[in-house]
Amino acid sequence: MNIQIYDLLGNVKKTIELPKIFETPLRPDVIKRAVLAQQSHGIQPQGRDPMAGKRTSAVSMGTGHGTARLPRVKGSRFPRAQQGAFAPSAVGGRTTHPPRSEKKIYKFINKKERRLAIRSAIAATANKTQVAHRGHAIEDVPMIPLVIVDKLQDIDYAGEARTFFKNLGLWPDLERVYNSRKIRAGKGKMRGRKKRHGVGPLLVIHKNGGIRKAVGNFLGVDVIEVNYLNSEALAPGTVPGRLTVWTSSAINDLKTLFM
Amino acid sequence: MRSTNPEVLMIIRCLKKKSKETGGALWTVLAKKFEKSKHKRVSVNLSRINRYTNENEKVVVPGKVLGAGILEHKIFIAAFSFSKEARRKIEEVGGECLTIPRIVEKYPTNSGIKIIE
Repeated sequence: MNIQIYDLLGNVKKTIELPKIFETPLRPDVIKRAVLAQQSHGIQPQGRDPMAGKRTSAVSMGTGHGTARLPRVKGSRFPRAQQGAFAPSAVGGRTTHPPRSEKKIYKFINKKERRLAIRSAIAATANKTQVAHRGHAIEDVPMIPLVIVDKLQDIDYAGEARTFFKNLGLWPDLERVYNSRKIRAGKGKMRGRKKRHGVGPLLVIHKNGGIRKAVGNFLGVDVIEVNYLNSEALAPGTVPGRLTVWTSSAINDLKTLFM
Repeated sequence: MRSTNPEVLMIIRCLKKKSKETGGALWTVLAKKFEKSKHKRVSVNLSRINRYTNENEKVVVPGKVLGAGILEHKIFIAAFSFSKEARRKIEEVGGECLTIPRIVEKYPTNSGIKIIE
């Protein structure tokens, strides 16, 4: 498949052939596994204090006293004495099966499977129906996959970046993301995850020359160097087909990567 | 576990549908073979296919065809996948490599088709 390289104004510069990686069949099942594994790597372990409710020398009196065999605090002539402790049924006792911090939450995925997921997700970014299905606004985008000259990497002002987005018809997607801001449903909003928003275009570059800073304030836009590409960036929320902008040298690198 | 590969699922759906339409029991048998786990999927060498077929016969392999051995005659063979060498050897003697949906479409009544595994 041949595609055109555009300059920053949206004019066609030249035509190149797409690397073979774009011919990988779509494997949503593998992509999903890879993304879920990657998401699990960001989760912090959480658990209760293993000694909680056990810091007492309470023992049961055993049978024959006409009372329950509940472990009770030792001693007499102070309020806590002879009160139930330690057991799950007692106030201040331990929990039966508390969450444990040593639980394995890091999901592993085989190396070849992970690479297949990345290859397949890359191929999906060149599939117009798949990109539209993800919900991106692509009516004004001249070509999918969108490849831009290397000058894109050297943009270092947000204003220049904005004109670039407008020239290449990517602005509607940025607006879509801006309008998608909302307050998170549920308790997450009191736990430091108050605002949610959609995912916009991904810029894949060979080497950063200022673009990372320039688009830093655009909501939903991510910049990634081509050898750091991962399935979560290419298929956010396990749905493949993100609107992706490649620089020409990044496309060139794909001839050898992830094989 | 059944394979989650969309290609396999598509093959199963296609086989079951055709079996219902034409009453061809062979397609149901094949569909059941594809419903098994990936570890149980077969791979068949050309030598074995050569031993059990005659000229111009139609063969289905519910798995992969590998290239070891010599193929002496022309056959029509459908499989989930072919190795490069197997494909070359089959085409060298004038045979044809097909996908499963293709052979279902071509010979819906499944008469004279062999399953080799």
